[in-house]
Amino acid sequence: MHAESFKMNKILLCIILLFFLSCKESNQSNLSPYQFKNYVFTNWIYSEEIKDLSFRGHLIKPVGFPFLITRIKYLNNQSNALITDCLYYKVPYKNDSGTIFIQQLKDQVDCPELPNEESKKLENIKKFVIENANHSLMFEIDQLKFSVPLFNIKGVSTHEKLKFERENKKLNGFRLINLNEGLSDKNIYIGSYNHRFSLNTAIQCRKINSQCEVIGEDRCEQCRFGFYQVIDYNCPQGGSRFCGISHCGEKNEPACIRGSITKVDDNDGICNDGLIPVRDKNNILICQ
Amino acid sequence: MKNYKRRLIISALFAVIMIVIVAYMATYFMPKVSKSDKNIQEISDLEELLQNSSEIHRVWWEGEDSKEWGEVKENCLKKWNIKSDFDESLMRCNPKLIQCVSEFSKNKKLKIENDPVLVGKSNSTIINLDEGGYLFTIKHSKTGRMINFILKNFCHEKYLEPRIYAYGEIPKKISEDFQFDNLEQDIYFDSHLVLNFELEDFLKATNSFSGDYHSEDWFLPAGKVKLETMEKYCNFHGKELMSAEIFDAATFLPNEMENKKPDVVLRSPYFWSKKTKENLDNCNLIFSSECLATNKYKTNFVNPTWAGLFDSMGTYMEAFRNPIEPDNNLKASSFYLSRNSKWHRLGKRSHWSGEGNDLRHFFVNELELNPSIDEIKVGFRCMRRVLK
Repeated sequence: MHAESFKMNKILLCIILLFFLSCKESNQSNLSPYQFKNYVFTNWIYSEEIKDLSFRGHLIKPVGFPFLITRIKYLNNQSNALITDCLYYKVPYKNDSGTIFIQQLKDQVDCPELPNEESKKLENIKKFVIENANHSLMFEIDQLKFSVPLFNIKGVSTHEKLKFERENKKLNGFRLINLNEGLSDKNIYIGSYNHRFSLNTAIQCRKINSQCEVIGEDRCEQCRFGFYQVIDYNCPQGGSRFCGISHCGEKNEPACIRGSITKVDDNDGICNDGLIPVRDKNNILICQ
Repeated sequence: MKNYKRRLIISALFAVIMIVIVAYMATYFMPKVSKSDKNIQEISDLEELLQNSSEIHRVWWEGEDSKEWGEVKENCLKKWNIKSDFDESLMRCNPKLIQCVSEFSKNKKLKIENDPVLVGKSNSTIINLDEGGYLFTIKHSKTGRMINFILKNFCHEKYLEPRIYAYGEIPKKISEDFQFDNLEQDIYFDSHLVLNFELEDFLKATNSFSGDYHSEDWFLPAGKVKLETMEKYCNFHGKELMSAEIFDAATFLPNEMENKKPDVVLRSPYFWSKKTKENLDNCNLIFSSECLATNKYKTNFVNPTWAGLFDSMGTYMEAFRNPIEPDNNLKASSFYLSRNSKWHRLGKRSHWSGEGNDLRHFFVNELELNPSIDEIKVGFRCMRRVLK
């Protein structure tokens, strides 16, 4: 009897052990091909910036370690900020199959050289092809082929007399917005309606120095009421810029741009009658 | 008996544990299959919605040339209570068309979920808004999934050719001519005056709408707007109020079209001609007071200039910003003045206080108005400089 109960206990123990062994750790970062497609499609259709593909077409080298293919910035679920994904690929080599990694940047400024442990992974890849063409990102992963339309990526605009602007986008004048979590109520633009250059209240959103270098960040896209350019160092990329509505030509405001050929000299600009352009302490041409 | 009880308990425990293991293994394997189906469904929803949004984009750009306008026009005009003719090219990049098509067209792909909302940097938290536009929402008819997109109003902007231009009427001494150029600037201007429905949408978007407009006036220019509101409207759209010298550039006919850098910018007072004197009885060239007797004014009545700008002479008075002569901010040439008036000349400007439309806000003595006029409508348009 004692032997029998001991035998039963052993069986029970084995069953319990089996039970725990079957509890495979569910690894959140391992994706199936369809999960990968779903992630890429539902997020990257909102791409606003894609860094040039460092490798394109059928990727077969370098082998041995994951390398960065591209960096994608796309709208978050309220379209009030951009999320950055880094796409990596480890090429298959001999018995080692390929792996695609997607790492979402949290605090890092730029994509690290190698993906971290929290990256999403698609493993057991034999063939991976990627192309960025015709306003789409095209993927071929073994048997799975799909493309992600890129509505928000624009190239250089073309301008033609008597015509509207052509943005060189998938659909001219169209932008896909992600509002899966509704609109935010957080203020993201800077500047106030009554900010004026002449009152020293205008926010300088871009600063250029005498060597035509941009000092600090260019944040003119964040200006709530647009921005205007001033005449300071006659640089090829234009001058310094300030947030707000332009009052160029008025007293103590920047001079308006007269042009490139018609200006009399580098100190020429358009001012109201009775005012003349002079340089201020920051070399900005103002009307006094 | 004791043995039997013990065996029963152990067997029961064993059975329970086996059931739990089997159930766990089943749930571990099954979701992979249903998750995959869910992935496919989610993407196919999205693809369908993107296809629909692409169709709406097509109608947005085609405007009056779209087959949908032909289908819904009668219903739209009835709904808007519009009985007189208007320039149907104003249907391009027009949210009213999309709303009407959504309501009346048989094409279900063009259904929109809500009224389109005008968004600009000053009223929205969407990042990188630039010029803004109209925000649309569409919904999948079966799954209820929604997507949003913005359509910009590009259709009625015209690019000003980079050239050397000059400001104002040609002076007696050519050496006093004020030349300027846009050879290193990209400038766009609105080809038509800002319309009533556009102003209404802006006022609604900025919570300043007082409900004064009527749909039958939607496609006429807004004429009772203060100067400050004009500036705010243009700024909301990522633009600025039309500048006097740019208006001159877009209206004075270049004497030599091929020579973009002339030494002298010869110009005539009339946008269609190089002559200094012309017959002024064609209402499609100057819509003066005489024209009101025989024509009902409509937006874009006066032919476009060489650069594509409509209603440059006659029609409404028009306000500008003038960085050279700030007080000369008003195009007085309008249907308030007879065709013989001295004001029907390009570059000739008067003054407006910008504060209202009754006569005390104008220099009426120099305008020589008909005494029956007690109020003057002043229109406006916007322009933008593309800064990269």
